[in-house]
Amino acid sequence: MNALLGQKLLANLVTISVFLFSSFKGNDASFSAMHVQNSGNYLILQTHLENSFENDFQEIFQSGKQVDVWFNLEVKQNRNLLQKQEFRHSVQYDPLSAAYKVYLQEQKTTRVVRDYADMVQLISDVEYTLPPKPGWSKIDIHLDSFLKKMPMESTNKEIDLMMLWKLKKPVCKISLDLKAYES
Amino acid sequence: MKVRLGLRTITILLFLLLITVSMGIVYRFFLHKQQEISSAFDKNNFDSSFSKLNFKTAQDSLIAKEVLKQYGEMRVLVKMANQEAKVYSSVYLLLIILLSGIIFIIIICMISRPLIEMREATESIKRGDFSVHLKENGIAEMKELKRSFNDMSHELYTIQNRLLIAEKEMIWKDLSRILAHEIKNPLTPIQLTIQRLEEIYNSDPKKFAAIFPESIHIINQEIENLRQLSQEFSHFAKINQPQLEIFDPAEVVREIIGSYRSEYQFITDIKDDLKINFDKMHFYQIVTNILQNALDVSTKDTPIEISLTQNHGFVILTIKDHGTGIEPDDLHRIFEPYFSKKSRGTGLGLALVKRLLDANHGFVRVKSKVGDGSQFEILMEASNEDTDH
Repeated sequence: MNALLGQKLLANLVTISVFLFSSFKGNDASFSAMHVQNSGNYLILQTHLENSFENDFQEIFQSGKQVDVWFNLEVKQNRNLLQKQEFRHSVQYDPLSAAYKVYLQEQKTTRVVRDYADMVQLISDVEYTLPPKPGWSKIDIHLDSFLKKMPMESTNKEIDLMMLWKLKKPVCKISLDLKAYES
Repeated sequence: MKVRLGLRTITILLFLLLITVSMGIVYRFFLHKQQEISSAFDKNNFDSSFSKLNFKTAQDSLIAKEVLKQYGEMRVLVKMANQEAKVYSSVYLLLIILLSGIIFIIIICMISRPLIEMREATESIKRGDFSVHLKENGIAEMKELKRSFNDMSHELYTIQNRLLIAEKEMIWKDLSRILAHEIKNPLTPIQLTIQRLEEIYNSDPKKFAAIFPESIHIINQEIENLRQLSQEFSHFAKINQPQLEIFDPAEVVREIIGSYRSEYQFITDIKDDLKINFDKMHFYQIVTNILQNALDVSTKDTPIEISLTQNHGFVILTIKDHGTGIEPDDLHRIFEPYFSKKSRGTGLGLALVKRLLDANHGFVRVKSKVGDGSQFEILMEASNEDTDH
């Protein structure tokens, strides 16, 4: 709780100071509104990361190092955690072929694209299939995204990619009444 | 609230401004240098150059890939170092400004709070409360200042107490003297009359019957004087809570003047239909006391001028005599209890007037010139309400 509060405080401090004194642009990452589809026994959750990879990310992706965009999905009912799932969208650039290899973990698919915009579109789209379990009725779905620290072999240090998101995790929340979806 | 910046505040603000501007300049300089390094990296397009090379073996490709990866990592490092520098330097700048601001406010509070305490304490002393004591805390200079202030207030408090005791003693002495004098005045004629009666009764019993009624009359009169004296003291000692009522003061003033018209000359300008919210009995006592003083210095040939008017929300009763007037040195003392220049006076009349006016939220103003007479003005708030209410 305190750590979360500290993170929020730091993120706000960064936003204010950058706004006041710095030419740093960064990215104001956010999710589009979550769209839920009922597909028989499954719920398909769809959303999209917006304004997340516009400034400064091209050099990061084109460094040839693997960049992981992590997603954390939590399903709660009356504040009780029913399900928690972490998954990633990974990108690795091949400088010789100038192609991006994109791996979408929740869909277990790998694709290769040459265009930077296509790659950004691929890693930004989230489509998660959620099978509801017995006893679930009114549920709250929470999805956030974050970037883990990237290790640098040449310096034995890690760089915090969250800096490019101004230390703010984009968050998307939705409350569902599953009975309504059944009908 | 009026904000006035002192020299100290301006100095601290200037200091803060200089620090912020200096840091800003240094920050811009480093940013510029970092930008130069980043641009140098960005200008080199190793990726496309390498991709155009025709590597003969897979080993060559792997090596080239590794080299490009290392180069990419370097670019990321420089890019991120640049961005981190931008972000963290702005955060540090904001923190320094916030911290400096907090320190500045604390310093200002440390300086201004004791000064506010001092100002309030000075106000208390101005109001006559010398018992005020400041807590000797804060920075060394303030502690010293507060200690000096406390010494001064303690000294003043001691002097005030001594003065109060001395004043009380003086009042008691004066009161005793006045009471002894006032009681002695009627007692002497009573004693003389009784002695005379005794002598005549022993020497000429026939004459005794002739002078007896006159003697009894004198004794009764002096006893009446004594009774009046005690009543006057009693009135002064206990002034009742005013029973406010709305009435026309003209009626009361006319009623009082009426009983003296045969012996004295009055010039009046009394307006009717004026209303005051006042204790009627108190008003009667006030007018009687002031008028009595005017009568004491007037004859049939020296008229007493009385007017009753309204001005700026006040009903003003003016009583002016053409008597001996009051000495300028005595003018500020005439409302003090037991202060009197008359041969037969308790000094309670005008003191009673002042206390009654205070109780009814009225005021009194006096003008006097020796040989020309005195003028008393009684100011009472005019009432807008109707008497029926």
